[in-house]
Amino acid sequence: MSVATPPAAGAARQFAVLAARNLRQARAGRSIGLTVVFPLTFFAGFMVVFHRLMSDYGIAYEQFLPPAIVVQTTVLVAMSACYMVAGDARSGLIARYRTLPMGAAVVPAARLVVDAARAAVAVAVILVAAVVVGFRFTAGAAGAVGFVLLAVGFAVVLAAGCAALGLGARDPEHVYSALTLPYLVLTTVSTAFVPVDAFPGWLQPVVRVSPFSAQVDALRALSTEGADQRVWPALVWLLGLGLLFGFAAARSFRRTR
Amino acid sequence: MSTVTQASLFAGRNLRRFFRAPPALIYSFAFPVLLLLTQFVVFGRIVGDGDRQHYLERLAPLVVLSTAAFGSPSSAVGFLRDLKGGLVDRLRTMPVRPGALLAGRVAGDVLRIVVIGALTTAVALLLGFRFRQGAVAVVGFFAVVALFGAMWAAIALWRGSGPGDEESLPPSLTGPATLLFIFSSGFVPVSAFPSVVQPVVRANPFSVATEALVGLSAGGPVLVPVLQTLAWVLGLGGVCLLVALRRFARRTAG
Repeated sequence: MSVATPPAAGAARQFAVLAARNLRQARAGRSIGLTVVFPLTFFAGFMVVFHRLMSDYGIAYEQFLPPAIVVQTTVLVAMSACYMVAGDARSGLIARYRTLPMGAAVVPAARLVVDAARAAVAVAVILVAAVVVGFRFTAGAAGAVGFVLLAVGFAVVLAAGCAALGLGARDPEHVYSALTLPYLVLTTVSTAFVPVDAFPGWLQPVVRVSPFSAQVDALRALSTEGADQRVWPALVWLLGLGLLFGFAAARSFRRTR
Repeated sequence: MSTVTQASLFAGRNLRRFFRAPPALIYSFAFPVLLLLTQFVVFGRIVGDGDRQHYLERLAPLVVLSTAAFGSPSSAVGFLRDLKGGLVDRLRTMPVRPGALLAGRVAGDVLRIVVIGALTTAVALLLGFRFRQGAVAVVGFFAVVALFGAMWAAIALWRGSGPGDEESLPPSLTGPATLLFIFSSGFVPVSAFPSVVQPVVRANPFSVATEALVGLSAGGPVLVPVLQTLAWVLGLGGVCLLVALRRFARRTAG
């Protein structure tokens, strides 16, 4: 033991350094505008535009819309993770990490924990705005906590899927624009903005099985009546997508050169 | 070479660059079509008051117009790359008039917008959208689309020639474009908005251009909305173009 190899930092310290770096990256890029300013603007816009029409349709939009905006926000958090991961893969940072004496789980963990934190902040901002316009948690504190946990969990699962795409991408811009198309279709063809009976009859079965409908409906349940049978589909989707995307992300992470 | 020949060369170059980038190309065509389909099925019943076709008469023109706005970020980034990537510096050593490059960019953008707008209109026709005012009105319809496209092309030149980089430019254009889209009379009727907001909705360039296109397809007033659209195009588009020209001239002179 004569050669002076400096001891590798502990896993916790490694994690802290990488997580701090990912946070700085998020703050420097376009992520705050995309995940905080855009959803807030969209929320305000949709409240103004649809409040009267929806109340004619028998829906209190200030209670109906916020869970949808929360889901939309968590999707945007995940999509921006894709952009950042793709940048790291292209710049060679991930390849550089590989040459360092680090635990295999440190890099993905630092990514997903930071994404969870970004999602939590974005969701908190939306909820404050929602409460200002009349949104209420009528199922008590347990429902509210479940609401935030489910929303953040969804963001992390989607971020893992987006990271899998981002790792394999050569051009972050292309992946990002390509993702906006499924984002547009999946978030709108769901119960996010209108109830299922507002869709054409042939499309209603599709709307009912959408994971986005499941997520929005579960959040609506948690903010009104509390955890009931509407939460189960969301949890099943969360588990299923979590396994699928987790596997995909691990696979493309191992393949990244 | 005359300025017109030079400008058409640049327009051709920009169009070739657009058609040779498959991912961006697919995105440019797919986005308006998906936007039309999703908004139609999601909001058709509630906004159309039970009559989806009635909603389509206004939604289709709005989505056709939105191709101009949502294409502007990539156009602005393209111009920024021309400026920063050395193309403009190279052109300074050649007998090229400064206006030719800008005119070429506007012409290329307008052609692209009209082509994508025509495709989106074709999808709208499949859904049940109809031109009920005759052939001349169809020509007028696409002329208004071209005018509106020229305004967004000028806005893209203004943004692309200013400060700002490839990362900050796109959101600075898509953000306002999304808001204008939502707050327009094509998305929901003016009467559904709170009364304080209604004057803003009526004055929105998307609203006036949508009204013009509705008049030229389903039927309704044409002259006033066309003049209002023209005022927006000449006013906002003209100012943006002048600022871009000045910045460009300063750059090519220095």
